[in-house]
Amino acid sequence: MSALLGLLGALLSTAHAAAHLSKAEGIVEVRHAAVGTWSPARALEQLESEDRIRTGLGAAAGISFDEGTVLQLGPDASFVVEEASEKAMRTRLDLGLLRANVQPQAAGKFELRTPTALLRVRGTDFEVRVLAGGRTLVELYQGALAVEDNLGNQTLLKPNERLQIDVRGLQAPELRPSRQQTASAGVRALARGEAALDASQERERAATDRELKLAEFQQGRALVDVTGSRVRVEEYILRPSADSFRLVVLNERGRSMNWFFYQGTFNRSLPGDLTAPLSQLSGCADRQCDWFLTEYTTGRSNLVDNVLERGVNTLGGQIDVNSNGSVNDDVSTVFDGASDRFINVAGRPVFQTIFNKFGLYVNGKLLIGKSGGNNITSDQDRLPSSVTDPITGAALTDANAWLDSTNGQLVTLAADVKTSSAEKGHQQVYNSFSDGSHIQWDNYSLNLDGKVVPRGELGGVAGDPFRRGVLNFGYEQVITSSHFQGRRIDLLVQPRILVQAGILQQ
Amino acid sequence: MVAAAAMLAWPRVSHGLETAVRAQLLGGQYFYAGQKGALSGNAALTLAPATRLTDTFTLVPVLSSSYQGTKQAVDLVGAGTIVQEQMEHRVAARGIWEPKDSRWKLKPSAGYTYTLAKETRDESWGRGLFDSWRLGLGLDAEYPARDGLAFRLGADYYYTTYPNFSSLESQAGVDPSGQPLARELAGKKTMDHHTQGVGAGATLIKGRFVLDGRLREQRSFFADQRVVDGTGILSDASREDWLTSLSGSIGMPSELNTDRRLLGHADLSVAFNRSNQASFDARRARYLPGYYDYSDVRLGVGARRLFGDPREPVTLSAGLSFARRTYPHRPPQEATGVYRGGTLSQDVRTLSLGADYPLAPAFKLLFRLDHARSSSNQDYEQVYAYNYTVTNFLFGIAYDY
Repeated sequence: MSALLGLLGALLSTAHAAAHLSKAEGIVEVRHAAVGTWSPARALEQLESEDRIRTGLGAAAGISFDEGTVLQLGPDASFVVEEASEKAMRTRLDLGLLRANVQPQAAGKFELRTPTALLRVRGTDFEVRVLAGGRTLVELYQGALAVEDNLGNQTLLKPNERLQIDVRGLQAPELRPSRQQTASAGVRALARGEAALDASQERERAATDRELKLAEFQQGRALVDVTGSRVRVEEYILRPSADSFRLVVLNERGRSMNWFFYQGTFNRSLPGDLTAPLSQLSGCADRQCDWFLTEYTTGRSNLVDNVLERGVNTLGGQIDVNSNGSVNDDVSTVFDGASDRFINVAGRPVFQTIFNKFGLYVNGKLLIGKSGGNNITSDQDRLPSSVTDPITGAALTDANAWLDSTNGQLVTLAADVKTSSAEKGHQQVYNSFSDGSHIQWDNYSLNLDGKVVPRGELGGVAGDPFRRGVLNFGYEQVITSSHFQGRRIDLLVQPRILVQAGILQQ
Repeated sequence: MVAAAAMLAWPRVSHGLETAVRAQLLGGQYFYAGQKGALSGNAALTLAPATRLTDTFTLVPVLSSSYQGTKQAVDLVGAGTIVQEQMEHRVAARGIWEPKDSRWKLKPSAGYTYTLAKETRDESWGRGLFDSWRLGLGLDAEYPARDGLAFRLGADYYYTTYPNFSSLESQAGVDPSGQPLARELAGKKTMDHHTQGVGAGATLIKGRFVLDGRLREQRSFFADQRVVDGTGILSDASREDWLTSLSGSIGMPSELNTDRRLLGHADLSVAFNRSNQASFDARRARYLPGYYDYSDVRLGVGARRLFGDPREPVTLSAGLSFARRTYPHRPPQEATGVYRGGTLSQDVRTLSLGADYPLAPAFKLLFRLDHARSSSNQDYEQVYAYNYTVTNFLFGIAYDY
């Protein structure tokens, strides 16, 4: 009933209207103040004070005043006729684009308000755009336009000038760009926006790649050596048989690859989880280990030269090295693989594996051999090999051993020199032989960034303190030999397995 | 895809080229763990020559090149590489198709990016281990609704390859006794991957504030990287990662008032990565399932204060951010590498300061300072540093047209 009365009131008021809707294209809606609800606009529909008009996507509306003034509303606009009478033509644009052609006779009467400005017309053709947030852009084509901001500041806009008004108030008027300039600026702004979006999407994709690289670093696969050069490291486990495992370490430096492997064969089958067997590699206090090695092989190579070290235990078990009658192999600490620490075992039985057959092979030929019978109790009991291979039992020839030409037997060790430099973190083991040949091991402890760690920081230059310290750092081992013809084997390894297996050269 | 869309929309004559240009030339220095890098420079240039081919289709090629000689605080600093230079070159084409009588904007795109890095003394341009190129296709759609509300949808595919990276294992061969040094199924191009992503977002302008939200899901597939199993050997399955990221921000791009010319923003993002790949710590014979899983939470706030001419203001800016990365399946380690209980996490706090000073229209002087502090419960740092402080500053000139 009230709606009906409102509609009746609206119809009756048309006799006094000063404006009407002259065009409605697309979705155009009107909310008459007297009705209070939005309804589709009808052509020539009369407009009264406080009537509202809104336009949709791609829509346009025209509002004509009786004295000839025409307003054109663009799409997505919100407009209010605040007062339409003979005395005043007051309008308001809350959002969107409006083009106004105000007749001279309306000068002084026509006002357009935006959220941030008040425009008073003195016979003019202008365009107003109100953006979200209230920012108002005014462009004047003809006539004159007085503009006032919400702070009371005023300015007079001349033809072909434009002005921006926001919450800070009026900005200085400036010359309106030509249509060509406006179009160019628009395309350029679009290009800038697309370039920024492209860069943003690329950053996102690059972040995924960054994660891959991060994982390589975190797993120690990309390191820096003592010279500041890249060293790649890959480490993994192979299971050649049920009772053995092989740890492989691959290094790449420049275009050369070096590899190291440690293969251990145990007294019984290994579980899927190798933690327990590995924790017993260096021996057990008070009792024989559950898992102990019966054989091991280490290999180092630069793909041309290689050094293999093999040890075989045919004793049938482990030996208590603290009560075997040899003081030289007594141990006071044992590396506990479970905690990665050396534990004190002084005065206690310590069972370790004695490899009664040992061979060091360079480029496939035996260089050092030692062997003992099944009744030996110490490494010291092994005797140097001279005519047979300690591992295979084969007779030594020029094809499988480095023989001394003077007696046709395996070369003998002439010098075994160990030197350490506390400042440089450098340790050297030099072995020379009766035929004049040599092999040299240079070991460096490295920091994360490839800098050499002084031995002082390792806790000692040799022995258990050194081995304890070296666990905290990287380890570069360089092997040179008169048999390598100027080449070298250069390995960056984590020393843990070397410490654990008791084969760290020092 | 862009070319096809352009052909479909071709019927009318094209307009002239309008090129947006952005260039930066900066010098700076980098400080990490008590060491300082040499003074070096960064340079970047982006050209976007756009043309309206028809009333409804605009083509925007994007050409960009950058050189970075000064490491940034946000770079991968934990690896401790002592030299780092990087170049990136990109060529892309983006289309904007605005069909009449529709609010939708469709944006097909295609691009190629080549990234080169020199991270150590022995790497040279084109021979960096982590050099990569990426080829991508994308389609974005934007729907501007009424009253400052806009929606976005997007899908993309890209392929990334590392031409200089092959796994060492694939090159390992055999030992002198003929035994293999590599595992069965060892792949060669283990870092190469295909990625597909979809995303959706919305932006709302409300008064002085702009609210933005975004959700993205992506899958990366590493065809040549086999999944490692509990005993350390490789299985038939290939690695597959799923990354979900959700971000939101609130910004105040309009100034408070004439006296308080202050702009501000706050950002929050979370991301979760799940992977079927595990890691096997060969040194400790420790199997780490879910090694590549992580969650990432980032929170940042920033403010800018403007002075002088509103159109070319002097700007001072400051920002603080906090990021926490958690690896739910990685236990932290002691300095010697012994695994402890718990979950590995890393926090990075960053302070950023900046100043812009206009020299002439489109030209300005820039100064940037970033200081970041990283802390973690990970004490094992033989191969990667988790606890460090890093600072870098940059100073130079920018051109934006």
